[in-house]
Amino acid sequence: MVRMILMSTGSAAAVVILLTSFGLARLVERQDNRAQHIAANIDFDASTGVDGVGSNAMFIYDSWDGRGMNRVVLASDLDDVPTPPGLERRPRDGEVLMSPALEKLAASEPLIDARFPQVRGSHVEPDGLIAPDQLLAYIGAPSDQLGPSSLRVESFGNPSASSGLDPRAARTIALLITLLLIVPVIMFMAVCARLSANSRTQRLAAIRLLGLNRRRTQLVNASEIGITAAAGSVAGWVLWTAWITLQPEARVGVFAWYSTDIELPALQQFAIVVGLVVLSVTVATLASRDAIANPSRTRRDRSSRHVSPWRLVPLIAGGVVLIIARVRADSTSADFKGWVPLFGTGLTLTAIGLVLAAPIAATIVGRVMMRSSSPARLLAGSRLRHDPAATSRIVAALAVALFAAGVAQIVAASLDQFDAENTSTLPPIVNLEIIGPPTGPSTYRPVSPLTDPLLSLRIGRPGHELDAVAATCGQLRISTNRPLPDCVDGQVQTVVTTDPHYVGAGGAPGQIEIDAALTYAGLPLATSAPLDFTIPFVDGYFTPAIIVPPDLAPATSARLYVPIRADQYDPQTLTTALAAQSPTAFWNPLITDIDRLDTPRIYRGIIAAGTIAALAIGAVALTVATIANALEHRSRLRALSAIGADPASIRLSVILQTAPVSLGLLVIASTAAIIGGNAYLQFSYPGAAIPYRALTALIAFSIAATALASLLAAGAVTRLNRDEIVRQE
Amino acid sequence: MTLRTLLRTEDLSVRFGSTDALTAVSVEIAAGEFVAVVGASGSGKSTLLQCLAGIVRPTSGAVIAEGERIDGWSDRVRSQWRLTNIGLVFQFGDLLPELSLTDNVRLPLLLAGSEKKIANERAHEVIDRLGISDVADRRPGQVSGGQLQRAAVARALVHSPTVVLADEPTGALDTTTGQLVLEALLGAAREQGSAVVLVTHEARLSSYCDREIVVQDGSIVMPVPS
Repeated sequence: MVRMILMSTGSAAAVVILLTSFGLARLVERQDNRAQHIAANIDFDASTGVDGVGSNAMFIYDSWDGRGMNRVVLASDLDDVPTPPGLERRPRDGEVLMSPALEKLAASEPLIDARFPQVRGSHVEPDGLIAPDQLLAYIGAPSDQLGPSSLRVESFGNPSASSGLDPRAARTIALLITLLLIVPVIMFMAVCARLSANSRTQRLAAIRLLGLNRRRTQLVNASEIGITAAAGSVAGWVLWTAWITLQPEARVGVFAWYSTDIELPALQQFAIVVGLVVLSVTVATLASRDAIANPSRTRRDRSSRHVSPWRLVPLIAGGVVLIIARVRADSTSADFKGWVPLFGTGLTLTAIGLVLAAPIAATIVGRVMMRSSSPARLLAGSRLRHDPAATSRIVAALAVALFAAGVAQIVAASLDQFDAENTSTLPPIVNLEIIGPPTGPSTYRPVSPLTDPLLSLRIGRPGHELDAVAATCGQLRISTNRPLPDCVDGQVQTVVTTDPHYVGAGGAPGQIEIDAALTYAGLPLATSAPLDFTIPFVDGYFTPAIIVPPDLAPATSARLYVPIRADQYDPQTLTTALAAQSPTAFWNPLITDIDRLDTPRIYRGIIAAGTIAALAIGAVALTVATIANALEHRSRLRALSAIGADPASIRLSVILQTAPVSLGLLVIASTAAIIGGNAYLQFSYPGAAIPYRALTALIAFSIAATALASLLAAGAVTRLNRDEIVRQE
Repeated sequence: MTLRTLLRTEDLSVRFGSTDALTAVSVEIAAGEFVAVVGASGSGKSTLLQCLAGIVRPTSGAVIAEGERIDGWSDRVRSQWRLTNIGLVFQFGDLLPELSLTDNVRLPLLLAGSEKKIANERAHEVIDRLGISDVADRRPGQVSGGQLQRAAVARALVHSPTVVLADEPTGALDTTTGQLVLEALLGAAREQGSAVVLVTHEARLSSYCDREIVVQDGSIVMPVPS
């Protein structure tokens, strides 16, 4: 009964994990669809730029604590503004409609709250959001308050919008998710189906000897396992369905999603539930085949079969393939389509090889131990040699989980490099500090949290403002990796840009306009030579003309001082000043949308969730199987105790049956993970470093799980010993 | 001559849940004597044996070994005492299936800290005496029931215990084999001066012993005169 309960529980857990993991694998696609659903169709030809004529919206991108925060200002006085998804109506003038997450953040964070002085309206519904934690606000404002970066939005819902997912990461991560969860789950189910394998085998042999033919005995076996697995699988499906129904939003760390986004088609759910039952029955029937065919021999001689050295072949082959993948990763001719299958083959062979090689490891460890005269080692060693498969079943799931999780963590490290390659390295303007009414004549436009991205500072006459970034030449050289020979600290300089949307139709500010603006503002004129670099464009519609104003950029560029006229020193400006006091809150002046920030975050979330799930499965399998193994050997333990074996020796022998083999396999698994992960890094992001700290944590967890499982089993032995005596009576 | 008392119980009672397995049982086992404990299945014979071996702790009463009360000792100390002084034989041998017969036989010596070489020599000596040398390298699953029980007897005697406690040692064997095993057990025990407590439900086996204790419903009753 205990075994059946354990197996049912295992089946239920496996169904929940499989449904969730398959759902998570679809989540990137689902959230991408959501991003397309809320993407705006922009008519760039009608967006006239600096004059704002024809524009009806402005998109402002910020970030808060690493999360993208988008504000969309919609013209409240124009009729041709489409209603965004998730809203029943457009925001009215002076009204802000926030996503629930942003409203929650604003309620807890005064700096955010201060940035939305408008009247709060209804929420943005899930239909208009990518994820429940998305920070998004739609603000209503008169069209004349829209800045020069405003655009004309024709409609929302742009199926052609691309999130720009990195195909290398997407495909590799999909492969890893499969390996991360499917393989350990299969191992876990195999462990469940083979719990107390010796006892079951003996029982089946006894049933066979009673007179049942092979087919009927196998039917009894299959029915028992099938009913148990089916009960657990259905229970797991019910739990999962209840979970996504009752819990519409889910979160793992910084990664959140709508539960419906991981819902699978009914046919796929059915296939998972039935597939697990079929898997359990298959494992159980195949493993019992010999016992049912030869019941007499099984009843008499319980010794296990010889462990063939051929079992090492997949592991060796997997290692060789991964090494080849590593070597080919350095080759400039390596193409993605050819390399990924090679890499996948290496990972799969290694994972299977770890499972198959486990009995060999058990046999080797057993032989070494049997040379000892220590009773505990002798007992453990003989047990390992006698039944290496039992220990293998115990440790294989965790070893495979560690291997998959290790590779996944190394791949996750590549996402940092992905970020580095795709994120602007312009020096962040950390503090925007208002220093009060200026002493001299200034006509700087007030920096408004309503219409301006906080750190995209604009200067100049209304209608002729220029986006500005304050930086020293040294910082610009670092951020652009260009020599910039014409850059001189202390002089205003323009930047050559090639934005097609700014060229023509009077959109591009000319030198005269710039000089006029600077003169009007009382700033020195720009140098005659423009700087020799181009600002990176993001999605083709954000084009700052960079000016390096003297005096506004101190040597460190850590602070930006903005003189404000007394009559413009208003609450909104004050809000900006308050927000500016947080050195890390608002710093990225460039667009941060899904492909720049959220996609790696989604991948990291999925990898983190998969890693936790895989290791949990492995650890649970190890613990369940270790204890079940101890349970199965009651009589053996009773015999040992009866002849006077010290309880400590018995406990130690139980620990030694699992711990050394497990540790050996964990070493092999982590080594293979490093080889495989390194191959991936070399192919995709050679600059990324292997995350040894994360790997160390994974290995430490696995070792701790092994130790805990062994100690639990050792503890159970003491208890069982007493129970067995009582049972005997 | 009065024989030295090795083991005795005083008003021994054992209760498992709501079941009284033994009630106020007092017995004595003297050095070198062979005692049969007879009774029907479920009468409490095995419980008495396990109390004498220090495996089961009594609910009340005392188990005294050579003047010292052992039922209060810790599990570890009782195990150590059992390892040195007691040899146990069970109905089904209860040898470790993964060890060869030799390894099974030498195990108590290794557990007691003997050197490997000495343990091997002593194990082979006992195995020879019990006539199972030819199958000594086989595992329990690869030998006959009689050979298995002889190995179990060898394991019980290998460390020269003062008392051998045998729980239905021939219960799983045919009459002839059972008789051979019993004779081997008693013969070897007699050679090394060990007392034997033989638990059996077969009255005929008690004729091999010096005296018998009859257990009925957890209590000692007077033996029926033959």
